[in-house]
Formats: sequence, structure tokens, C-alpha cells
Amino acid sequence: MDDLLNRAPCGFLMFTDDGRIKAVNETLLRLLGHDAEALTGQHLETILPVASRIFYQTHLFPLLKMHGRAEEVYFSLRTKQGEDVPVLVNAQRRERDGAAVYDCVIIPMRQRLRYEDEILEAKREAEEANRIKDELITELSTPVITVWEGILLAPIIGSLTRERAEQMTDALLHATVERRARVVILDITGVRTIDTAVVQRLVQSVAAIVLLGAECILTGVSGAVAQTLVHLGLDLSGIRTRRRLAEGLQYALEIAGSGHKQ
Amino acid sequence: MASDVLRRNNVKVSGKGTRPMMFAHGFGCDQNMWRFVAPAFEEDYRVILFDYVGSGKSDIAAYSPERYASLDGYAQDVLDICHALELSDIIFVGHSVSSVVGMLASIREPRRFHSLILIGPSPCYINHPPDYVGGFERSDIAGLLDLMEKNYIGWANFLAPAVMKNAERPELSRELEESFCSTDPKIARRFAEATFFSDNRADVARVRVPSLIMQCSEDSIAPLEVGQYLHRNLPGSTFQLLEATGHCPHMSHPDETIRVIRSYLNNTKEARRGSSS
Repeated sequence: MDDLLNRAPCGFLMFTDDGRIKAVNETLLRLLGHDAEALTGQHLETILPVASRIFYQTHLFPLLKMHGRAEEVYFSLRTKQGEDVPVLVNAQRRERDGAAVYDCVIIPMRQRLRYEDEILEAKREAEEANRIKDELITELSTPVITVWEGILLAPIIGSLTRERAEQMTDALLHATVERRARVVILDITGVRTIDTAVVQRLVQSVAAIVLLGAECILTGVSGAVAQTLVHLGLDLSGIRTRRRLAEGLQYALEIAGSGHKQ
Repeated sequence: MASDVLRRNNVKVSGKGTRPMMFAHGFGCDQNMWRFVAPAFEEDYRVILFDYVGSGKSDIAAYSPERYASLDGYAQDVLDICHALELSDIIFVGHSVSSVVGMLASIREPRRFHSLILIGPSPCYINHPPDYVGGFERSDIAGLLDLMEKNYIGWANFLAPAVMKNAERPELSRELEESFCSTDPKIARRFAEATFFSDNRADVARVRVPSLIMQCSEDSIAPLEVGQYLHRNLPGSTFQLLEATGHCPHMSHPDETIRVIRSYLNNTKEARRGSSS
């Protein structure tokens, strides 16, 4: 081996298509505590801890085989003393005497690993916090209130995304059956933006409520929302609308009241 | 609906033959891994390649954590494709975890399958002392999950896209577009868990389709003892020890892999002819 490569401040290793080690430089030998005779001809896996062996077989080898190179791959090497050293590896395939060999440059990364562990931990915490927040928002975002016997009110505030509209429909249908509602008021006074897909879903949930035998009233329709509804050309015959929530309530009481009299 | 499944699983059909030969990739890869082997069978068979949902160029939107929490979900992918293409008398070639997936699919619909060709199979990767040595402890797999996670930090680097923007060698860029590994780290993690934590030893005896176990020499993922255990317990199995080492003979030793599969298929053909005459 070239003296420069042998003493370079990085590990160098060459292996064949079937994973046999062909050459190792002095820097890597020193890191691993082995001598060259002991490693040459051995399988690469002899210097890999178990998890790294699986990673080599399932990821690194296929990657090298398919693309001819891999960069900044992280795994661990096991020293003669049984210590695991985290390393970063760049590897590249080339032809040598008619057969494929892989040249690897190997750099220990103990310090950086600690930093990455911290990043990963922070990422996990952030994801968990996000999950809890999402759950809370989901719970809070679709309340269905019984305002009078047989009358349900679903006030919707903020942006109505597809996901929220789905949750809302589920909650509404469930409550309509559970609480034997005769009238369901959807109040969208607090809705800032709405898109056509969401309106379509809204219309569908209204249709479902009607199918369940309840009447549906849409209140608090803003000018923009009204325009969207009209542009869509949807059949809105099943939906009664009132501009203000108070009017909707009054109307609902009339229907519910007339039901009581029957 | 059939076309939905074909799109979902990025199904590719080729070949001049009529009998279907379906190649199922293992964990960590996609259908590209068959490119050294599958073309050899196009003259005589109808070759079917696909990506499991969550791998390769499948439709990630179709991924469901519940469905793919166990290998049954992956077996359903195989059966969905069989239904969509109305396949029967299938030669199923599965690498690694797909060996078990193929077994599960064949248990559910045995009549669809002609034979199973199992490359580096293991019915259970975890040790269950004192009766069973799978090769791994749960802590080893935890170590693998940790490795995967760290490599996905520099995900872009791992796939090395920068170097692939090589104007002199455009074929490299094209290959990269046919992305190689599973694309989403969370999905890859769940696939790893479904692969390595599954224990399908009880299913092995329920397989009714003839099979070929292709056992590599020095395979650290599916060691010799595991292949022998499988052969003892899998009814109708033929055992073939390969000269190929490692866990991916279809990539490292494609010639031997093709030769062994051909010879098995020829033998079963003759055996069938013999028994029918």
C-alpha cells in the first residue's frame, strides 16, 4: 500500500463483492487493535457488531451493488478489545483485475455522534409534544353541544381543513344518533377560510344528517362562503341557512317545538 | 380497481411466457434489486415485479401503519396483485422477509401458487432458547433501528443525490430517480420491526405449496441452522446450499441464483410430467 494512504489520518479498507477484506491501512488497524495478517481475507462482518452486520446486508451492500457508491453512511466497527466505534463511511466500487472491489474511507465520529444523539432526542420530544397538541386540538376543535332537547349545535372556528371536516362529520353523525337529535345547527360564523373540497364534504355531512332523520341548519354563512357554495353549483336544497346563529336557534326551537306538540 | 392496485404497488409486467413468475423484494430494497436475475426468466415466463406499499415507487399515500404492522399486510399486497392480474399457477420468488410473506400468501390462497422459491428465508429472526436459534436478540434489532434512524438524519446524503448529478453518466441519475431504498424513515422502521420481530414458525407447517430453500453460505441474517430448521418443518421443501455468501445472492451471485432456480423449476416440471403419466 502507498505510504501516504497507509498513514493517512483516516481509515482505509478495501473489500470484494463477497465481503472479503483485501486491504486495510495502518490508521484503521491501529483503531481496531488488529494486525493486517489477522484481518486480510476475513469477512468484513468480523469487524462489525450485529446491528451493523444487518445494516450492511440489508442497506449498504445493496446500495453499493446498485449505485456503485455510498456516502456518509453511519455504522459501527468492533475493535479487537470488543469496543464499538461509531464511524462514517464513504465507499466506492471499482474494477480491479477484472473483479469488483469496494474502497472505503472510514472516519470515527464519537464526538459528533453525541451531538446527533441530542438532536434525535430533541426531535423525538418535539414530535411527542406535537402529537399531544394535535390530539388536544382535535378534541377541542369539534365540540357538539346539546343546546335544547333534540337540538345540537356545532360551532366551527378557524380554518376548516379536510381532516377537520372529516372529524366533524364523524362527531356530528355520532351525536345525532346518540342524542336523538331532531335539529342540527352548523354554525360557521368563526370560519375564516373554506375551500371547495371542504364545502363538498360539508354538504355530504349535511346529507348524512338528513338521512338520519334530523334537519340541518347552516348559520353564520359569510359572503365569501356563500359565493363558494354558489360557484360549486351544489344541490343545497337539503340545507336550510340562516345568517345569524340566533335566527338559526329560533328556527330550530320552532321545529323541535312543533315536534313536541305532535 | 385492478389498475389502482397495479399503480399502488408499482407493478411491472414483462416477458414472453404465460406462467407468472413473481419476484418479491426484501426489507430495505425495492424491485430494482431483481435486475440481475429477473431478465433471465423473461424468455419463458411472465415476469411480475412490484414494490410493497411504503417501498420504492409505491404509492406512499396508500400506506397504513395498522395494515403493515404485521407481515400479513404485506401478504395482502401480494394477493391483491394476484387478484388484479388474475394470476394463478404462480412461481413466487421471495428474498429474505418476502419468503415468509410468500408463505403467508400461499397459506391463504394455496391454489394460486405453483411453487415458492425462498432466497435466504427465516421464519423467525429472534432467538427463542432453548429450542430455537434465530440468530438475533431483541437488543440487536434495537441497535439496527438506531442505526437506520441515524442514517436517515442525513437521508439525502445516504442516497447520494449530489454525486449523481453527473452529466457524463446520465444513467446514474436515472437510476437514482428510480429511488432505491424505502423512502420514509418511519415506514422503514415499521417494516424493520415487522420483519425482525415476527415469529412465523407456527405458519411453516401450514404451507401446502412445494418450495425451494436457497441457503447462502455464511449468511449472517439467515444462518445455515435457520435454513435447516425451515427445511425440517416446511412440508414439500427442497434444500439447496449455495456457494454464494452473504444475504443477497441475487445481487452478489446472480448466475448461480439463476442456475439454481432454473434447475429446480425444470425438476418440478419433470416430476409433474412423471406423476401425470
